[in-house]
Amino acid sequence: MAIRIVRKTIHLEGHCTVEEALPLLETLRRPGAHKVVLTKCEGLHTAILQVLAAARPAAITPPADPALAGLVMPFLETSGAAA
Amino acid sequence: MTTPLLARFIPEARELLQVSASGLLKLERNPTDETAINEVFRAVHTIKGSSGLFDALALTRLVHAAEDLLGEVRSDALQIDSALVDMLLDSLDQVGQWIDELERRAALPADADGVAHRMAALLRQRLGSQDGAVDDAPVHAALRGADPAPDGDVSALPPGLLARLPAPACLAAFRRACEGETVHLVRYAPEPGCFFSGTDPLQAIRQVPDALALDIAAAEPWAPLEDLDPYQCNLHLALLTAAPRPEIEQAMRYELDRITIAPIRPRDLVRIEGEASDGPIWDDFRGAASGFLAAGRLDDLRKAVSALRSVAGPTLWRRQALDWLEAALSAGQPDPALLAALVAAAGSGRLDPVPAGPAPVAPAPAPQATDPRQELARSVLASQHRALEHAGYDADRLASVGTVVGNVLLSLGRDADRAAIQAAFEAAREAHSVAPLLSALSAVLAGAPLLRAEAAPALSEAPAQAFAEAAVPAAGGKEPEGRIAAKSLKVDQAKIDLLMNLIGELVVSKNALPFLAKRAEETYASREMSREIKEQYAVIDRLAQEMQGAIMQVRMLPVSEIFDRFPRLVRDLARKLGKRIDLALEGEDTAADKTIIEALGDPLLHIVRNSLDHGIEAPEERRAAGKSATARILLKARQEADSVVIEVQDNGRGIDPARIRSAAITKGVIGQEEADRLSDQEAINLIYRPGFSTAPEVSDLSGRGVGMDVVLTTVEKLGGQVTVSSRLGEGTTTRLALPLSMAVTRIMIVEAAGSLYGVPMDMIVETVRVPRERIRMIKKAETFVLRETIIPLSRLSRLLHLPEQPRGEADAAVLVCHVNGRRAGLIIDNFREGMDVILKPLEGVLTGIGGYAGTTLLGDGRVLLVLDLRELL
Repeated sequence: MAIRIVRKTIHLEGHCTVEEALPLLETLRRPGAHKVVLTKCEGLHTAILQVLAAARPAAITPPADPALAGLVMPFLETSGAAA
Repeated sequence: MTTPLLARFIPEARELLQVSASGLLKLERNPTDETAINEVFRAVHTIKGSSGLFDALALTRLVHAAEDLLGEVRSDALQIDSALVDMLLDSLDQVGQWIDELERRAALPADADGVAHRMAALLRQRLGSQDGAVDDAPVHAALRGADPAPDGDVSALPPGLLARLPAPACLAAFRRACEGETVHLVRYAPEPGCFFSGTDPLQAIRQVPDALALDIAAAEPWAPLEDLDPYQCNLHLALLTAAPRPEIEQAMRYELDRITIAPIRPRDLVRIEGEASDGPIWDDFRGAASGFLAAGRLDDLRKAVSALRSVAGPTLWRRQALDWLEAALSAGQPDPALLAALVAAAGSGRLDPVPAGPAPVAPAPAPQATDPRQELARSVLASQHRALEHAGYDADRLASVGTVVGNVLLSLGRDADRAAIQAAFEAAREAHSVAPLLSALSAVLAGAPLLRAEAAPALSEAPAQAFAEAAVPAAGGKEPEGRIAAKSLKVDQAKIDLLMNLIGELVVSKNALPFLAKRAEETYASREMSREIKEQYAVIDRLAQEMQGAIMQVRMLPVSEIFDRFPRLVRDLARKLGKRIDLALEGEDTAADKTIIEALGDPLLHIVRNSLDHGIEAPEERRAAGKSATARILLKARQEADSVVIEVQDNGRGIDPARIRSAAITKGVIGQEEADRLSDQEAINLIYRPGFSTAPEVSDLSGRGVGMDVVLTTVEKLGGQVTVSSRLGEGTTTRLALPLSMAVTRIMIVEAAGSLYGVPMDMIVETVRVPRERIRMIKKAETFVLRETIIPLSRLSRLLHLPEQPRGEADAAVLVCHVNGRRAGLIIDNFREGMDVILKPLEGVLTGIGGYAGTTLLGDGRVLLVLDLRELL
C-alpha cells in the first residue's frame, strides 16, 4: 500500500497509482487539518496530484527525490497559496 | 526484423489501399453510391484495425482520421467532393509510403508522427467545418481562452504562465535559447477522461527529453472537495524543452491531438523580479555598458557586468537583470537588440518591451475572424472562386464547386447566401458560363448580403443536391460483384514456378513414350506391348495436360490487377491536362498468366497516356467538333481462343495519317518516297517506329518518341501483337493480343538439311505443298502465288547456311509464316508433328547466336533448336 495514514498524517510512499486517488480523497474529505508526507514518495499519478492540489492539506512535506519535488512542489505550493 | 504478421499485413494493406482508392474515385463520380462508400469504409477500417498490431501509431492515427471522415460521409452528414477526395487520396498515398517503409525497415520514418498529426488535423478540420462541432473544440477553446495567441506558432509566452515558471529554469532556458537552440513550449491539455484510458499526463510529459521547466495548472477552479471527481483530469500542463520538434512529437505520440508545440523567442523568457535599488553605480554602469555595446566591445561589457554582479546584492532587481545580461552575453553570437534591452533594463531598473529588433511578430488574427470557422469558410470559398475562374465552364466541376459552397454556407447557417448561390449556379448552368457564379461568390466573399434577384435571372431554385446529381453524368460501368472474396492462399511465387517446371519436365518425359512404343514394335516386334504403352501414354498425357491446365490457372491473374491503377491515373492526368475524361473498364475478370499481366502494365500505361495527351481534345475543342465535352476511354479485355485481347478505345481526335507522314519525314524516320507509298493504315503504324513523335515539345507525359516503340517491343517479346485502327475525328483503338500463357510453347517440328528444327506455331499461317513448276523466279527471288497473293520464298537450309541436298521431289514443302507483319514462305524438306515444349533460352557461349529462340528436349533425348523466324527472315 502506498497510502499509510497515521491519525491526521497521510504518508504517500513508493509509487502512488491512480487507484489510490479515491481513498486519498476520502481521507482528505474528513474534517480537520491534514498533513501529507511525501518524503518516501517516488512517483505519483496525475490523479493523486490533482487531489492534493484540490484538497489543499494544511501541510505537505516534499518528496526526498529532488527531481520529483521540483516537478510537483511548485504546483502544490501555488495551489496551497491560493487557498 | 519482419514478423510473419507484418509480412502478411503489408500486401493486405496494399490491396485495401487500392480498393479504397478506386472506391473513392467511384464516389467522386457518383457521391451517392452506397456500395462504394461502404467498400471504402470497410477497407480503411480494416487497415486501421490491423495496423494497431504493429508499432505504427502514426499510420493508425492517420487512417483513423480518414475513417472518421468516411463515417460522416457514410451517414450522410458530410457530402463528398473533389477536394475531399483529393485529401483522402493524399492520405492514402502517405499511408502507402509508410507501408513501403514498414516493409523496408519494419518501422515508420522519424517524422511520421508529426506528418500524421498534421494530415489528420486537416482531415478533422473538414469534419469540423461541416458540422461545427469538433471533438476537441472545448480543449482548444480553453487553450485560446487562457492565451489569446493563435496556437500553431505561438512565439510569445503568455505572461501568466511565465510568472509561474521558476526564474532559474527560465534563465537556463534563456541561456540555451541565446546559444541558438530552439526552445519549445509544449502545452498539453489532457482529455478529462484520460485516466480511464490509462494515460498519466504527468508521466507522459515527463517523457519529453531535455525538459527545462514544467508548469502545472488547474484547468477549471477546483470543485468543493465533496463534489470533486478524482478521475476527471482537470490539469493543464506546459513544458519548456530544448528538444527538437520530432523528438517531442515522438515522446508525446499518443497525445498529439491534445498538445500544441511552439518555438519561443529568447526575449519572451526574460523574467526579472526583485527589490528596486538606486545609486550612482548603476548610472555609471549604464553609461559604460551602452558605450561598450555601441562600440561592439563585448568583452569589456562582459567584464563590467561580472564586476558589478560581484558587488550587487543578489535580491536586487537590477542585479537579476545583470544575470540575464550575463546569460545573453555568454552566447557565441549575442543578439544586439536583446543585449541593448537588457543593458537598458539594468540601467533604468525596468524592462521595456523590446523594440522592433527581434521582431515581435505576434501574428494578430484578423479582427473580424473571431470564429475560426469563418476564416476557414472564407479560405474555402476563395479557393473555389479561384478554381472556377481558372477552369472556366465545366458542368462536372461546377457541380462539385456547388456542393462545396453549399456545404460551407450551410455550416455557417447563411441560408440566404446559400439560396442565392444556388440560383446563381442554375443561371451558370443554363448560360454555360461561370460568370453569374463568380459574381455571386465574390459578393459572398465581400460579405455583402446577396439578393437573389440580382444573381439569378428568373430561375427557380433547386436544392444543391439535386443539381449536383443532374450535372454529374450517370456514372457508367458495371462493377463485378464477387471482388470481396479474398479467401485465398498466399503462396510464394517461386514455389509455383518450381511446380510449373516440374510439370514441364513431366510433359517432356511423357513425350518419350511414343518413341518407346515405336521401339517395342520395331525392335522387339511386340505389337501387343506397343499398344499397351500407347494406352498408358494416353492416360498420362491426359493427366499431364490437366495438371498443366491447373497450374496455369494458379498463375492466372485477372486483368483488373493492372486495370485498377488506371482510374486514379486517368483522373490525376486529366485534372492536370484540364481534360474531362470518363474511363470505363470492361472485362476486368479476364485472366491471363501472371508474367503477361505484369509485363502488360507499362505498355498499357503508354497507350493510355498517349490517348490522354494526343488523342483526347480539350473540352472546348470537343464541343466545337460537336462532341460531348467529356471524352471516353474504354479499357476492354476479353479472351479470344488462346490469347487475351486488350483494347484501349478513345473517342478523341483520331490519328491523322497525313500528319503522321509529315512528322515521320521531319523526324527522319522515313523518306518522302516511302511516305508516299504508304497506305493510311501503314502510315498509322509508323507511330511504332523508334524515334517517332508528333508532339512538337517533350512533355512529362509523352512526346519523347519512345512510347509506342516500347509498347511494340514489349508486346512482341511476349509473343503478342499490336494493331492500331483510327478514324480521323472519331477516335483510336489500340488492340493488344497476347498469349494466355507463356510457359508452354506449341511448336511444329520441321526437317531441313537432314536435321530437325522447331518453329513456333503462332508464327505459322499454313502449310502447303507447292509443285515445282509453280515456283516462279522474280529477278533472283523465288516466289509462288497462294490464293492470288504473291508469297516470297526462302529456303531454310540456305538461311541456316547448311549444305543443300537436292531431293528431286515433285513438290516443295512450304511453311507460310506471318513474320514482321507480312507473309513469307519457307521451303523445308518435310513437315513433322506439332508438340508442346518448354522453351529454354540459349545460355552461356550460345547467348549471342542469332536466329534461334531457344532449345527444347525431344522425347528421345535429342536437343531441338527452335527457330526465331523474326530474326531469320
